[in-house]
Amino acid sequence: MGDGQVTLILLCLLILAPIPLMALVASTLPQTQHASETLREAEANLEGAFNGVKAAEEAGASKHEVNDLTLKLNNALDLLMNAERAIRAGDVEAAENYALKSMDLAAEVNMEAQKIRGNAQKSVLQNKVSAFSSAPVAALILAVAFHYSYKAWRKRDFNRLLRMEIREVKRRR
Amino acid sequence: MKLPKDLRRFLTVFAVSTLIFTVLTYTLLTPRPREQFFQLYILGENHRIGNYYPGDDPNLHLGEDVKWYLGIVNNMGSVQYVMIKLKIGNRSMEPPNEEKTEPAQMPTVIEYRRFLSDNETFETPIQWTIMEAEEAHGVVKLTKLKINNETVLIQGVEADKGENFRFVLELWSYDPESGVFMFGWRNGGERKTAWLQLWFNITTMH
Repeated sequence: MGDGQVTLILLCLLILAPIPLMALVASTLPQTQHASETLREAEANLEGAFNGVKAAEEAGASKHEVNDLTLKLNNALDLLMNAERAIRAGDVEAAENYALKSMDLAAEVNMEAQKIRGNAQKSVLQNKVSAFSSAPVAALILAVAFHYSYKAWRKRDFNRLLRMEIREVKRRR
Repeated sequence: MKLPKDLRRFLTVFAVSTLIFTVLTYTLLTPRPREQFFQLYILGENHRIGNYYPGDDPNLHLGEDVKWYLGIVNNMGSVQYVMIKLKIGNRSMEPPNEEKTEPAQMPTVIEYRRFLSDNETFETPIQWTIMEAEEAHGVVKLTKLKINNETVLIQGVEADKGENFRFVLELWSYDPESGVFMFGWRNGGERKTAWLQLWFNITTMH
């Protein structure tokens, strides 16, 4: 084999060698991109779930209910952070799995928060209506009590006046 | 038509007490406004303020373990989504500006995110080690750190004689209105911030 042929073979090898590497990079690139998109989606879902919990709290959800939802939000956040760690380590499949689990949990929290919000709105409204409607009832009881107390006081006063008159008549006699 | 005296008195008492009871009910049902704030703290290895470095000596060697406890308390009156950014810098790098509510112009090393319900405290340990630092002409360049078993590469942080490096901890909170994290938090119309810094030196290259 001549020098020219060796050079030609080496040149061919040099050109062809990076092809499998490029193919590998090209095949993993869409996977990484897809995982990154899933991660972004999971993050958006988590933020949506947080807004849902906040809305439930503002509607009057109990502290216990809010604490429960917050705990679940943190679990979803932990899964998302695991996904971020996995993608940094190059484990695209694990990253996507964690992100999907986080999305499921966030969706569950959001649904639960909406349910709690609805119930809280109802019970807060009921409490307000019963509290405000008890005001005229209490006022009526007070007014009746005042009316009869006043009448009794006036009667006692009147009787005292009568007794005074009788004493005056006796003295004159 | 003139109402009887008794009925007029009765109606007056009823009207006045209705008004009083309604105002009382409204006052009891309306939550009182309170100051909204976060507390950010950092404790040393013994879970106390102080003793932030081994032997209380801020001159650190390569591979020396440092342990802190980072804590945050939510006193905002509602559930919050917070992020703590741990940044590394030197004396000349800009620290956070409280007046302009601008964060430090330093590279972020690690971020912690957490959902906190009202009055909740979150505390987490930070264990860190200087893995690599390069020295050239008296300037020490910090290049690699290990934080909570995660290796972090650092770029552009150097100090003369290895003196006055600093960690800056910033509190960021998620703003539901804008949908992004902001440095500090909103309290009514005001923006408030919370940040901490801890200084150290790198003494030996061996």
